[in-house]
Amino acid sequence: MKKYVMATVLAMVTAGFLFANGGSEKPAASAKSSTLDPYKQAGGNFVLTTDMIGYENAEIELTWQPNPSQSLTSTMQGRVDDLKAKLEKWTKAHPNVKIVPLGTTSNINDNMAKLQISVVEGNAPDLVAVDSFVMPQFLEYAQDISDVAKEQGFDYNDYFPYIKEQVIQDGQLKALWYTTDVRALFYRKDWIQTPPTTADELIAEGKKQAAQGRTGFIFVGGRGEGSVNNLWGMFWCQGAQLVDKDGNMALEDPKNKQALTNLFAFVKKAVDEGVSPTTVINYPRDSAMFGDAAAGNVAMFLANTSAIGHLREIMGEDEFNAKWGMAPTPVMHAGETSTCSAGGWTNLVFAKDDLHRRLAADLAINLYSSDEAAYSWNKLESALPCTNKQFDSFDYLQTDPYFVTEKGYLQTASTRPAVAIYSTISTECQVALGSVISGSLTPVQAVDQVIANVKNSL
Amino acid sequence: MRNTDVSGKPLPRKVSCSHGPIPWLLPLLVVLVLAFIYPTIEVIRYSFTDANLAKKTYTYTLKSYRTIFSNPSTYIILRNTFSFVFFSVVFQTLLGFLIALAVDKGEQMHLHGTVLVRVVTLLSWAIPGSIIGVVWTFLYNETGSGILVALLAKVGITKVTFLTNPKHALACAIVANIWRGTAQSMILTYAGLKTIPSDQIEAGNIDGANSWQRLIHIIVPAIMTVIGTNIILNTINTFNTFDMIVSLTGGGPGRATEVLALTSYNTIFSSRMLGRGSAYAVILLFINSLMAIGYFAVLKHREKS
Amino acid sequence: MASRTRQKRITAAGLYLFYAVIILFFLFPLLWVLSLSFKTMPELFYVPPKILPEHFSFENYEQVLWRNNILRYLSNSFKLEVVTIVGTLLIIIPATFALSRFRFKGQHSIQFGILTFQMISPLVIAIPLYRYFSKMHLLNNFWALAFVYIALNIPFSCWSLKGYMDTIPLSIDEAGTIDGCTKMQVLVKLLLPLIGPGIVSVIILIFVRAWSQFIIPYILLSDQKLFPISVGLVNLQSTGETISTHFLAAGCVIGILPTLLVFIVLQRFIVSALTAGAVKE
Repeated sequence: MKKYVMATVLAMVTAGFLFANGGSEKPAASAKSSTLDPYKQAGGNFVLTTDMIGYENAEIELTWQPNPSQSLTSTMQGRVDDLKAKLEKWTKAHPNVKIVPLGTTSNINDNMAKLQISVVEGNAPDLVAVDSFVMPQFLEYAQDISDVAKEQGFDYNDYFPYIKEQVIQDGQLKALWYTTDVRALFYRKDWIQTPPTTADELIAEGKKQAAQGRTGFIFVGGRGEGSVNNLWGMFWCQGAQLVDKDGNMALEDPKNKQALTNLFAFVKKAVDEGVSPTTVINYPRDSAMFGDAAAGNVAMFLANTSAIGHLREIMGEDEFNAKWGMAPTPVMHAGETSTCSAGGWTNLVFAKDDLHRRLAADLAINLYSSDEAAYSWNKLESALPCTNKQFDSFDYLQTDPYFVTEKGYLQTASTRPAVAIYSTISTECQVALGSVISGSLTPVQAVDQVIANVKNSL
Repeated sequence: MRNTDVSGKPLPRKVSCSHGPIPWLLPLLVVLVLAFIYPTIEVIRYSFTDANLAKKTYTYTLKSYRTIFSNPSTYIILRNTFSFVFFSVVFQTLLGFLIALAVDKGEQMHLHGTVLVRVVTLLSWAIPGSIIGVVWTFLYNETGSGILVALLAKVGITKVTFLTNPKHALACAIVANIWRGTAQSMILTYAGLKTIPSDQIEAGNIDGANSWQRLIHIIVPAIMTVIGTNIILNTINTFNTFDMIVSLTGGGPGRATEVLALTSYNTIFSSRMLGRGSAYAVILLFINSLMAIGYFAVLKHREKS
Repeated sequence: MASRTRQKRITAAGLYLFYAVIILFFLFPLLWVLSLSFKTMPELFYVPPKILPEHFSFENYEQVLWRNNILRYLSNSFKLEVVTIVGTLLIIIPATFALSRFRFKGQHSIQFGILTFQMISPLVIAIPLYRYFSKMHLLNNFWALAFVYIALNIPFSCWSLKGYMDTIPLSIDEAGTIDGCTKMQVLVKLLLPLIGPGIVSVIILIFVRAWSQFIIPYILLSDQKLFPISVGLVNLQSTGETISTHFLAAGCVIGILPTLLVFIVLQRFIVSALTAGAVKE
């Protein structure tokens, strides 16, 4: 009788356990993983593909959602080679761990929205790359990874102050910011002696170039974060702000409103005077301009400094260096200080259990953040590192003239406001920019529309 | 018309419970409930909430609808959607009708190439809408290396704008959509023409009617219900268009080519407002239902005749 | 009599002219894509553009095939096709049998109900399905996606298959029943062979519709590994990196080719499939 009761209880417990396991995968993994050793040699072949990295029979599975252009699916061979080498090294040092990359779409905005749902539902991947301007919205769900950073010798207190402010919350490290990019005016050195420093100079120079049958100036004018992000510098240099201290839209403030109107008026003038073609509307992101820039008829364009790396790969380094110069984002009126938007990418760890959390943070540091990893990665992306030490010690930042110049821009750069309303303001400004370029709205009407629509969305 | 036969005559054996239709229909009903009925109810429910993708909790409210109807861009979007649908459907139907007529006539006259015309017209039907959008962005390239720009320049038209000009962008999207949707109209009309008994047309010949009179008095009335079906199917397809617009213009410039389905998507997946995006979807659903009612009316009419 | 032949000639000439215009309008975009797909990067920027590429090289195709996951997108599409076609047929054949061979209360409502679902934009159902699948950990799941594909193909394929089955005389069933066949046997042994052409037509229609499906995978998938070709190409178009027109054009040609081949080979079937389903149900 006793045996029978015991058997029944045992059966019920087992059934309950199985049921719990079937219900969701994550808790099961965590229950198991506490006893797993990442350093144990696993069997099977070693594979390194876009689907899986590590030994086939490794017991620990780490899910990783990188930014597509910073992953093995990138179309830039240099980046793929760099990551492959780092991934091989890391998985061979952790033979019982296999990494499963999640290749997302190239639409960053959609990805971030979908990530938000999975974070709220509690089924986000273990390690996720998040665009820095939406990163603050994910921090409450991200794991503290200070301990792993310390063990790996990554000094997060050495981050630049504006980065530190965002990624460290209550003394906890919640995100690993790994690239910093700034914006610049690229111009043909062989055609233009002194690059323009103000909006008016840019238009005057553009007209000169256009008179020679060239395209004077192109910029991202389509719908995408890149369009407004490249232009914010010309808004901020006027001392204007998008949101106030409390995180509310500040465009109704006359000064800010005027600044945005000036920005749109500049764009309109560039188009009206034949300096910029209306086809800039077809560029939703920087890379869309590179083909035209490389083709050799464009005199100037405004872009993320990652253009250096891209164009070097497309045109060849020597040709790029011979043809293209880099100047600070022009200011709206003479006398203002040039500024631009500083962006970048961050890694967040959402893994629930301790083992996965530690491994995910370890991986992120070794792929992008550590001094060694950041050295090769930032060079490939022509981006800037994020800590003072890296900034001072990387040789190419002292020797490559483009990097040296780029470094200077960071001193006066600003970041986009880290509030949820920014996404709405950005989208509305992208739409308004299109209307200004195409001439369907005047700059004043466009600003009014932005304000009305942002208020309406609340 | 076997339907009437079936309903006219009782089946030769008793339909007992175990032989009833339910087991046969069950899988279909389950799938339809899970994939259509439940989601439809849910989307209507969401539309009455302030749900946001970034939050777990929500409350019930009418705010989504209030904001939508007080927002001026909603009317721009509705106007875009209706012009997109109206002009697409008119030209798809007309062009489809003309091609079908020309092919039919050519077959009667034993002309060469009728099969080729039919196949070429139908090709677009087999191509995913998202790819059609990409294909047309190539044609609408506005730089000097764009093919349409070059061809127009040859006939003296310069400085053309396509997708960058909000006044032209919608028209360009409509042309691409006509290219895409004419196939269906053509094939339906063609099939309709084949059902007209030849003695009817010959009767017209004997009466001495000219081709125009034959078209108006015999052919068009005979395929009227086919044309009706065709118009409604085209309308539904066009209202639901999303794929081609995404790859062609993404809704821009500004909001010049933003249609209802795209607004709904963007509201949810860009602005994260699930409640309001669902309300846009419900408006789309409402329009779909009106179309369905129209379709059934045409079908009924056809059954009677 | 002479005027009669003259008139005929004029009509023929007019028709040929019209044919030429139509063929040009419908073929030109595709030919242009084909031409672009063979061009090199500098050729893309020629002003004015050359109609034909300078030399036909398959380099662009090699590039997109091996570096941009196009092969995987194609194979995903094919897998989805197979599961969707089999799944849809398994569900609609018995249902069609019931709708065509039984008389029961509410039959008319069910029939029209099924058709109504065809009118609903897939976007409407995709929104709740996204949340629903997210809760059940079914996002980025092949089978969950295939389930939705099947559901979306049921309404019209059921409706059009019923049209075929209705054309089979009831006397066939009666003869079978007298021979002692069960209903299942009547369906499988007697009716299925007879509606064979109808099934082929339905398969073609499902094939094309599933190949084109965009909104459902666009929303329910975020993992590139599972993308079908329709979404994969848009992803290639909007990639954050430099992907030039010539690669994208090659991708388009690869994405169009399979359905176009099916289409051209089965051209006659398709015409009858399209016409039968919609015109004489």
